[in-house]
Amino acid sequence: MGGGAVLARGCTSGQGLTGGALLSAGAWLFIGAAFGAAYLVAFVTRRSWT
Amino acid sequence: MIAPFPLSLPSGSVGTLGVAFAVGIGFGWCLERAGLGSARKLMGQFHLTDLAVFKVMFSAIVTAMLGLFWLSWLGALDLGRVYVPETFIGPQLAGGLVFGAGMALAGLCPGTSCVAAATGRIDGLAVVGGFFTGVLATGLLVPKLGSLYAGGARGSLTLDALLGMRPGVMTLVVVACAMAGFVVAEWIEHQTAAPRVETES
Repeated sequence: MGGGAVLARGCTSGQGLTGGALLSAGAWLFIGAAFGAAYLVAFVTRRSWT
Repeated sequence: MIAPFPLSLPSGSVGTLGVAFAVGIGFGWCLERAGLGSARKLMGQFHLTDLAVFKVMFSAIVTAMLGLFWLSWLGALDLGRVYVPETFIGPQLAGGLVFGAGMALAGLCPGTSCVAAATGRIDGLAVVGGFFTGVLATGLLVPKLGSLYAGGARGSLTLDALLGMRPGVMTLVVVACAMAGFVVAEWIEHQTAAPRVETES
């Protein structure tokens, strides 16, 4: 997660919320990629969260 | 009346640090009160049982976006002085995928991991430690990445410029997407809600 935040120049707050509100194209790309990957990983690991 | 409080202060001054401190306290308090210090809350989003994270995030984006839009329209804020995060297609796509995978494994994002750690949750402390290790390791690796780190640089590209729309129209489109998203989120929550056990009287 730290590595991803460095590459993307921000995290959920810095890119997601701030960049999203400022309509930054890269911020919306980041939000889409992060949620896409998170849904995939959450589905694969769903049995360990019960 | 242009760009009232923090923007008129020099960056890194006691004034801006004070504003950042106060905003940070408020942000952390809100995240904790919303229950986002718990990894189960975030995982509810990705297991589609509790979409509070989506609603909180999209509400925050729409509130800030409309605030910027109207303050600018009223002449109270000079949007030209507000820094729009720059777009780097390659790193932000790759970073987003790595970040999202980590978020689903941790059940916390960097902000909520601080909240979780502050409330004494061990998993929060572990995520904070892992996060800073990742930041440090990747930071040391950045010089070796060379031009890859700046791949697909588009400068401060905004969605309205990308799609050739007027900023006001783009703002309206995002608000409409949020409204539709909230309705769909409520519907999904209704579908995945645990069936209520009927008690016999």
